[in-house]
Amino acid sequence: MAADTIVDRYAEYWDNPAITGRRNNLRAIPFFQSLASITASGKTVILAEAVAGIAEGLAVKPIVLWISRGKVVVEQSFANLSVGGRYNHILGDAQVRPLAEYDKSEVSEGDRTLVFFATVGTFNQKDKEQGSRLIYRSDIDTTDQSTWAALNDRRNQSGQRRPLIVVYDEAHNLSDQQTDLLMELEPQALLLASATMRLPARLAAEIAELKGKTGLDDSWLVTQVDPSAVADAGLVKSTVVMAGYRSPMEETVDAMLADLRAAEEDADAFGMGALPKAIYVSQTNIVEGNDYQTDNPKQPFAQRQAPPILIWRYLVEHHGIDPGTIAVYCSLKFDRNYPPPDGFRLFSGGDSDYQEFSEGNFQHVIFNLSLQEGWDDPMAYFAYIDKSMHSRVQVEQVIGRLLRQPNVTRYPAERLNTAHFYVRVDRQGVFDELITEVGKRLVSEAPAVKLVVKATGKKAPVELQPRERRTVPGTAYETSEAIEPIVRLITQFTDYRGDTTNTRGEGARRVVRQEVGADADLQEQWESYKRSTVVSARWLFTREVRRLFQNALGIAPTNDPKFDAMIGVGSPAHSHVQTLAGQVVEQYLNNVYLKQRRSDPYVVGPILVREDSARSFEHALHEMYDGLNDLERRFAEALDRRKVVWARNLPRTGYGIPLVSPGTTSRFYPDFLVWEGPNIIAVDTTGGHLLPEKAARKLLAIQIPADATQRVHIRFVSEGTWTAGLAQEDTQGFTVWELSPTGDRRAVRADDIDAAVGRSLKATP
Amino acid sequence: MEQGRPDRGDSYARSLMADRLRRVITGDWANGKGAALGGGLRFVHLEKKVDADCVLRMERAEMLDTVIASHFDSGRRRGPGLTSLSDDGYRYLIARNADHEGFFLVWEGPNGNTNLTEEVYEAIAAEAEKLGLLPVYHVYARLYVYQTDTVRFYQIPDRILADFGLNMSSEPFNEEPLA
Repeated sequence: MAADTIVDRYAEYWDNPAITGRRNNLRAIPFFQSLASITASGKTVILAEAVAGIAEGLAVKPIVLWISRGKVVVEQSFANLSVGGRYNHILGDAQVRPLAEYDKSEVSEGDRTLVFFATVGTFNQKDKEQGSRLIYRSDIDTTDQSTWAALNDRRNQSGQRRPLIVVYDEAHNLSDQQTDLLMELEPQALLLASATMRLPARLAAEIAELKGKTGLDDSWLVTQVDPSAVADAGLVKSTVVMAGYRSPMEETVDAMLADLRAAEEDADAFGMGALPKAIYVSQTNIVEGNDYQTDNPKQPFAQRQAPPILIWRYLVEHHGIDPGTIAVYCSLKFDRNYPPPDGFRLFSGGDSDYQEFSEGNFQHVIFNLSLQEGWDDPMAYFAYIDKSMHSRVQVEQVIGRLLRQPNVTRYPAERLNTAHFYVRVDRQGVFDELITEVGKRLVSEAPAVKLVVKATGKKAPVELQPRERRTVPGTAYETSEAIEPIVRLITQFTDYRGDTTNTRGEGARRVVRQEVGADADLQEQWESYKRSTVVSARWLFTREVRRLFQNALGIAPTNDPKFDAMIGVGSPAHSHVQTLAGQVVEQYLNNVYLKQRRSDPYVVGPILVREDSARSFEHALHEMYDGLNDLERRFAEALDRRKVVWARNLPRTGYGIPLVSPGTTSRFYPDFLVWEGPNIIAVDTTGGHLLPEKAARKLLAIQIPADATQRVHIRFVSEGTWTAGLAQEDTQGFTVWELSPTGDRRAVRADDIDAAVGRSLKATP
Repeated sequence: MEQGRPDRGDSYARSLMADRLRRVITGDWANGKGAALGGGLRFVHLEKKVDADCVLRMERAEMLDTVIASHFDSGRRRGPGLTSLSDDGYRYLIARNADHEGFFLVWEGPNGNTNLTEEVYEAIAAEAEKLGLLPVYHVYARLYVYQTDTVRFYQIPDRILADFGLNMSSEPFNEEPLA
């Protein structure tokens, strides 16, 4: 979705780009797009998709300059995108090379997209000289002038300049000098993976001019990856638990290891196939407790005071952890007369370090900031943050390391959906600051992730198992009724094969471009590249449907040969295809209904509760619940008074029902589940009047198979008295929303909370 | 198995590899000294040019081979692949992966049912349960009529053609008939 947006905007922008420069030296400002997304949402994949999409629309295939910063990021992305790598196929028909291998003839003779990997150096000289890997010699600051000149020229066989797309992983780290270097290449597009629009001054000026000339605003320049979609997809963990400790390292690590053991058992029980991991973040060569004193390497290992060594010794000597499972990834100093003990695995920045490190699959990783960028292992669940880090902890970075969810799957054990932080602090104030910062960060970038804070000295949340096994039938979209209307729409659609009029992209080029001393035919080249964008009707159709409501594609087959028609972007046929996609999705949404599933029910799992702020219930499936708001608490108490078996249902980890409304597939998570005989009533105390009419009606009208032993009913309860027309008549009383016999949303008034519970639990025929 | 380099007249997968593997497994050595290792070998040969029309006209057995071949072909070379269960007589189940998830093919020939409907879903769930597979079902079918969150859907023929390397935006699904 995000990649599609970038591709569309690219095409839209180049229809009428902003022109800058003096009269006799005009140039078009490149297309800018910044990708705002939380860590772990697959930025590399989205960028690769966007590059492939843009390349698809270009007749002359582009040169892509893919820049990353930091050794780990470079190695990871390069490996992933190279031939045989995890993401190579996403780039489509492209060749991937380090910039050091830039070959003029390949650029001029080849007709495939060429991706060149470059870095902005933070490597030390040793790396560059000894680095066997070319990637270390692809630092843009030291790249040969001849390469730059060739990159600037980049002509193909027919003398056309190939389009240049610059992709940059950490845009806010770009220096002005580097920006100048890149802008001199006159790229067609700059894609920046950066959550903030905090950009280097040189780039900011260029963007300001772009905005001024085109009237585009930040929202157009930034592609947002919907964070809740990321969470819904199970890409990230659902909860972040931050615990502050004003106690020695040993105690803090004890607490963490105890939780790690519990997580290991869960991981085993739920067949994760890997061990949860713990990371330890600390300063490197200082004396524990005194940041200003360097730990002297000229002393026996046992006398060293550097935090990584103390942590390592505590793990090995006290907890009996196998040294082979511990990696120390930092530039820890050792004197040759006082070497570390055997089995001490130190990675201090050698060439093959990262590879060896990742292959070692260590369960415990002790590191400072050097490993932070790029390294994220979904199995990393626990982080100990040492006191020595103070506020130097780049929270977003550390959080990012732990946010990825393994196997893109939610597990019944809450612990396996949660990232745990054990922060050792001197003062409560430091912890509070950290919490505020993390909270801010999560709200803006990952609102779906729940932050649980364990203040220093407070009790840790405990995992509560349900008192008994209870299930709720799942649901499905039943679409049989939509097939016929969709087939009709597709059958009636025009066959554009052989049509040369309606499939031609409209409009002439509006870019005037003239460089002093440059070839006079430059203008022509631009024309041909932009207007020959031709794609198959099938591709346009499926992409449009996917954007509107992906599931509709499942019953909209496109094997009909007429979808083979090649259509110019922006042509009348193009908009006709878009119209068809809109109609198909409309038919889908009009005719789909929710049906209760017979097999594979949802099983209520354990929950995490902070005992000191929780409230106990007698008839609930779990002994107690915390975090209830006022209405939820009153409703819960009323349920308990009625002596029915009920459970609180948490968003994302609990029981969800797919919503029938256009846009990203989202789910509805009712607040409470109540079991009464064969009936299961799912009640939500928010938003009965907030959901769109169609979506609400479909929820209320879940179809139940005739032979079902359990029957799911959805109810909404709102505070105050509402009419079916969604007008609030009175702030007193309650409204229960249900389905009327005629199939409309009906509002039923209840005088008090007990009456509201009673009405909700009344099963409809 | 790679197909070798038929463009240079060297189809060694077919001419050498298959034969050697068969001989190793069955113990049919050239010098007559071999002993059978047990197990077996199936050498599957895709003959037709694959396009949408051709895929949709396949009978179940042929579709099954195509699905497995295309799935293996789609860049999943790393890590363990699928374990074929196609000879075990299931109606839908054709393979399982290392995570104990089943792969199902809903295809009863070009004139039979090819859609994932509620009834088919129930049958699939029952097959998975019988084998102790997890409730995550990878389903190849024509239409995804019954859509639910336990299903990973692979549309026929789109997914198969894409896995064989067809570029959806620029290449047709259907070969032009020969003039």
